[in-house]
Amino acid sequence: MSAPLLSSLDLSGFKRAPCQTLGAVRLVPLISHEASSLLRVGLRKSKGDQHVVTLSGERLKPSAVYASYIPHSFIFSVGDEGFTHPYQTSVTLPQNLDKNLDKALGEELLRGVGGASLGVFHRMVKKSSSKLFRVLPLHLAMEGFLSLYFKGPQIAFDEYVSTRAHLSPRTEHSTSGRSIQLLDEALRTFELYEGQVGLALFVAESLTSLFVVSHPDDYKALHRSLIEDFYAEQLVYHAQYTQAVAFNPTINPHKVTSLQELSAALDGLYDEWSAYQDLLLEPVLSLSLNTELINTFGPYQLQRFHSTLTPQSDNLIGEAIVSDTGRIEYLKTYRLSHAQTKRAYLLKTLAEHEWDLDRAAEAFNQSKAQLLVRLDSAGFGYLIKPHILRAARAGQLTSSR
Amino acid sequence: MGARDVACEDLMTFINGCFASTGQSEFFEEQGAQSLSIDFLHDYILYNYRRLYALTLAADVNHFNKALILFNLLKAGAPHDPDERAREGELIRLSLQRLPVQRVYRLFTRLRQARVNNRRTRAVIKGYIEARRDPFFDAVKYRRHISGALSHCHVKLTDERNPFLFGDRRRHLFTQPLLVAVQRAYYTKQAVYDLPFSVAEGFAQKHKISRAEFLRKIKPKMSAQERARLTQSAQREGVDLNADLTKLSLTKLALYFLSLKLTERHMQRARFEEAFAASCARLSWPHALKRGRTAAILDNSYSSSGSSEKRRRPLAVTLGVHLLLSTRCEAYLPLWTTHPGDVWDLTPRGPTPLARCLIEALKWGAERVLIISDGHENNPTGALHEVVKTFQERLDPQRSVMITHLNPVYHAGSFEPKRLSSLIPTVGLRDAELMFTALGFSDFATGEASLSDLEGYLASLEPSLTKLNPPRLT
Repeated sequence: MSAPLLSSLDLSGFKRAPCQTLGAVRLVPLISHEASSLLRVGLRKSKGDQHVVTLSGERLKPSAVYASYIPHSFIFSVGDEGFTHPYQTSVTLPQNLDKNLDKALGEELLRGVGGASLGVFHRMVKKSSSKLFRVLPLHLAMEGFLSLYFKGPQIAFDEYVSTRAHLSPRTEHSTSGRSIQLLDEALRTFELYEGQVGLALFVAESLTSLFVVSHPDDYKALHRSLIEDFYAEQLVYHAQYTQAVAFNPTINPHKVTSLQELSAALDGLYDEWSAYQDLLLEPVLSLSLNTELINTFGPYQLQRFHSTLTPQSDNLIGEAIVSDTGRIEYLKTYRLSHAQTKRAYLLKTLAEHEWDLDRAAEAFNQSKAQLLVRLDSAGFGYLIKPHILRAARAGQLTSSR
Repeated sequence: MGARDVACEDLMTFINGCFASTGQSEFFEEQGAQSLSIDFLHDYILYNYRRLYALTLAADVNHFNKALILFNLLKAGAPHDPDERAREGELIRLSLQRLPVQRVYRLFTRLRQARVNNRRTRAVIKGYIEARRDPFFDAVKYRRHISGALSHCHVKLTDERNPFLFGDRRRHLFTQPLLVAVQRAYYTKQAVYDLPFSVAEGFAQKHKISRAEFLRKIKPKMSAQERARLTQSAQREGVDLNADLTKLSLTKLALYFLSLKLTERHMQRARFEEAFAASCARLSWPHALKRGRTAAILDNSYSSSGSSEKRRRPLAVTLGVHLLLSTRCEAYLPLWTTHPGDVWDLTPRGPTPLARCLIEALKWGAERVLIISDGHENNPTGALHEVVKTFQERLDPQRSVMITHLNPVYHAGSFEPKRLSSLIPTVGLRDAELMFTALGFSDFATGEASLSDLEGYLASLEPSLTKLNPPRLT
């Protein structure tokens, strides 16, 4: 039996405890007391100052690469024999697996002039043995997002530079967790719960990241790695100018006449907290997802997904490992910034209309010139012939006058 | 709110801050914020309530703050009023005598560095150094501090300390055995072991004596504190210092206990049980606390792990209070926020569900509830206040259950230990053994007592001063 692809995020298997806040950062613990499965995960620090991932072709003769700063990778192990977190920030694997792990995981360090170094990963996901595989967290999802509609126009419409002018290089910017004010401090001072396997991270009251693993010890070891992840740039500003909303549910004293009732009233407070947190999570849990199966490891399926990319709602991309019973064993999401969503939406609409600018403009309820300018300001001007773009800009200027 | 109410509140904030703060980093706040905050608080109280500021020395505020108060008083110069001057001078003299000697010498050095050189400061330094019981020992152990202090206040000693501190230490012909030992230690290894431990350490380096050999031979010269502090590192060298744990204070012992691994704690269980019993037995115990049902809510959440400067301090204070209560109370219920199973397995972990613990305490029928926590409640935030409010309003309008919050952590942002609720008094607590002093102040922390009550209480703590004129409000 194989697990179905995720169609939406379902966190009903995880209990939510009251959140802890600092500045604009809100951390909601996700707890699971079920017998944990045997999928263990640990963190492996990457070597090198910059990193590339060979997506296709040989490791050092790639035909497509993904370039980014990748501070760590996750090592998944099916079965926890000899699996420990000695220093909380690294993972020790059974002796026989640890030997020549670099080679087994397809990693190599290239040294350049002046001491700069480049870490090369072979593929986003690499299986080293039947029990062990490596995933580049979030980069897997981001790569999926960047490759959406990557082929570009297939029909030689007049406006495009060439039919072979695909979207290469397709780039997106995001920022390190360290630039989000107080995130580091919030993660450091966070008090972990017994049985905690995950965290819902909110910045300025929007769900920034969901992170779930299957074993509480693994979560404890990986908790601080959230600072090394990348986040949408707009969150830097949101974190600077907002505070997490204070939520102060109260007990109605007139309903309390005994200690038992006071105890029940306290339970009521917990209920109010969980309802409040469900309310915060709701917009994201109700998103429908487009999911793609990446690989299968025994009973586990590695999938990546993105939400429907409608500019009106929050959008996310992410990756998950789902067991054959449908249980989420690993989950990591990235919240797209508004600009990123808009760019993806633009490409999506164009792709839906086979890159025919007239039809797409109609769908947007815009003139073709407006659409051309919009494409240019979204960073895709390089697809359009320069004189057409100039004319569109001039035309739009005269029409706006 | 009258001026006297404001004064009472200000002063209580200050005393509370002085119980808890040490100007070091805490779990939630860094060192800079902590010392900035406490320095401001000291200045504010000094310039607004000078007499009361000095009188705070009588309350058992911690050594860090006592030294800071002395520094600020000496820096500010003597008051004009002869009565006040005599009174403050007496307080300064008594407080210096009660401070640990290394703190006093560090205070003198700080005065020198801040260029505080008024007549009173010079007299205080001179008086202290002259009154020391073993001046030659001090001259050897605190040589740089003393020579600095003496030249700062222009005192010329007439005995052998003068050539020892300021002359040629190696050549002068000394008769005092300790000074002779220092002289010989420059040339022979054997004389190193006649010196105080901290001085001998330097000479051991000079003579390239191995650490293991040095520790074995210097053992008789080490103080109880030094032995306890070095037990672990000496063990790594294969030397057993036979530290007498029973001589340590309760909080120091708890800190040492918590620093050990779980297996080590269980192995030394009998030794620690004896030591804990001895340090609890040394403390006097007011009768009022013995009777009745006492429950303690003990915060062992992750934040009680403290900072790298104060490692596990909040947890050690909590453990100390727990041990005190469990040995002395007739009926006692401990409620840990994350139950460790066995106290010997106590570690700082988990969240802080204080409200749940309070309800358990009330269900048990507690007449007095003590909460020992850093005040960062998060499971859920603010629930304790709601429970206390409802309980006092509906179930206990006579306030027969006393709830008190003892906080081992100073909160720089609010200039006092962080409060859990406006309805329960919060008192700072640096050492578990000072719990009764802290509880004595808890009545004033609610803000209901008047300034004269507080003045009276402070004066009563220092009986030798009652013969002087009673304090007046500035």
